[in-house]
Amino acid sequence: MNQARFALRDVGRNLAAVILFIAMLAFTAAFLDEYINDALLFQDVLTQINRVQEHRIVNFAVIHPQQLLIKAEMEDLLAEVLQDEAGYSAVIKLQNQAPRLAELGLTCYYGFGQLSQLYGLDPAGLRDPQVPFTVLIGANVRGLGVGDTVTLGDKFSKNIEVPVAGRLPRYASFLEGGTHINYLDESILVLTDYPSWQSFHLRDTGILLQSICFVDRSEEEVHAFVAGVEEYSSFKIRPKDFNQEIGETAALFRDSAVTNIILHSLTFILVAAALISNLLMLMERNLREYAIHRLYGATLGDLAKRILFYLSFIVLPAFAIGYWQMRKNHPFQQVTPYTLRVIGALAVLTVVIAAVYPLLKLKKQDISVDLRRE
Amino acid sequence: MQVVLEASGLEKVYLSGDNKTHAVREMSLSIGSGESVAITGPSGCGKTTLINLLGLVIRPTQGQLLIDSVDSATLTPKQRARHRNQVFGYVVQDFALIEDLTAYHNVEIPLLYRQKRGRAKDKKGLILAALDQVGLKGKEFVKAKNLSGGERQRVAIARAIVNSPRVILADEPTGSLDSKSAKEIMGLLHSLVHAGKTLVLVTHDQALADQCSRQIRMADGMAVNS
Repeated sequence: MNQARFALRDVGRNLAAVILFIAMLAFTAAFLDEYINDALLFQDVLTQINRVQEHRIVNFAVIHPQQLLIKAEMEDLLAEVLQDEAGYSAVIKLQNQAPRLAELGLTCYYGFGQLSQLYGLDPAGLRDPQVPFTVLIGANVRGLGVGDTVTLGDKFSKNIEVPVAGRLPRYASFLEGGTHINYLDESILVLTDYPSWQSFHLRDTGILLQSICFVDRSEEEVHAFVAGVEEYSSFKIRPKDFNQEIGETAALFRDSAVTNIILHSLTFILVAAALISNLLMLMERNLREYAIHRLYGATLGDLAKRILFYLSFIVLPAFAIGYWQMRKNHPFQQVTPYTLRVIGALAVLTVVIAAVYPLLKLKKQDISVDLRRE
Repeated sequence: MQVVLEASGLEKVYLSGDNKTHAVREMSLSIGSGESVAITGPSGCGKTTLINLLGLVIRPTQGQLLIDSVDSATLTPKQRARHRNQVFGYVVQDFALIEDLTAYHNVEIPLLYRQKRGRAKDKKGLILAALDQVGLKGKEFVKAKNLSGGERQRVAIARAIVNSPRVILADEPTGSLDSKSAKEIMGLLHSLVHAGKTLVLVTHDQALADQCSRQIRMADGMAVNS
């Protein structure tokens, strides 16, 4: 604690510079969550893309007609195409209006076909093909537990009572339309099949067409579907190469993450360099004092502690202020344990990096010379 | 008499580019417990280098220094720091005080690095006793920069004795003082010898050297008589 006391005295003698450094570091730290989230997002996108790239996937661009016409055969076409669960994946988002879920403000995603297999959403294999609706709740959902019964439904559907079968893994996600990643941590995923869905909800062919992804289907099957849709409805659909699209999406996420990380690292390096320069000036001023302490028994370790305390008194409050600012900027954003760990690690790293050169310099101190300094 | 410091063939060479400066050469000496030894000689003859070698402030280039029969070359940096804390008490010409600390907090410094740190109350008692012993009662909480030269040297002596070291190493302790203060400081140092401490005093003032029980005269880094 003695060295902490001396470090505090150094802070007091260097107060203007210390406040400036705290402000600079806090400003830099306040944006950390965005960069960390970018990096984590890129990592998650990459994981999901790697999973999906094992399959050849085709999704569809849907041109909505001004006048909607849907023939009865359209239902048969969909029923036939979506009968093969292994050959497609689809997800529909609904804001639940049934009691309790609406109260909790939870969004419901209804997943069909290969959705859970493609994105690893049901690693425990809780989906029972005999059960029409399997409800999984997001990792961060509170006020609802496994075994609770929930009511699903909105104004276009019946209300049905279903028990919660399990929790989704943390950061469970899926790629939407090849350009977005959707996290399910604060949502509900209902795994179902097309016939069960049909019996529960009013048909919304447009939404369904937009979300259908064909999985490992032949070109002939794709063309036949496109032709069928255009024959039995006024929708125009165009097949898209989902694999190529997500490749481009990954590149965008990567570029954004890399650019941000480089810019942020540069800012940090500049602040750290300024901090080191300030520390060297402080040391230069303190060399005689260090020599006096060493003359009376201080070891290099004692002086190193003093320097580390000094840096900690700058860096730790700066990161704390940065974190507080971060929370203020994004009050509803969930702070992931990764973010907290990265912030903590960066704070420690900043102290250590800033301390290395000054400590090496101190190691070469000649007590007899520094005692004679003015 | 127990030998506290024993040097044999002690040398210190400073290198500056291709130039070698022999600050101390072939120095052999033995200092017993309770002795007062004056190291004298003209400016630049190596007196300060020698006292720094004896006090483990610098390392010799060659030769052996035994402290209580322990070869100083075998000491780890931590043990050297411990010796500086427990065996030696240093008094230097320009006082080496931290100017913006009070007399109390300057004297406290050696106690911060004691191996056995006692209770805060005991520490306070030791500091106040040391300041009292050097006649600075009532000036404990005056900042060093606000004290007179004589008072500052008294603070330095209080700091040197607060941890009860066995050897006081004083390098020109009266060099920055007027004659009255110098006389008082020398009186203080000799009272410590009477109390059983060993004193190694570097001085170019023959009158001060004459007050010591033994003298080592140096010239060109070597002892010319002892």
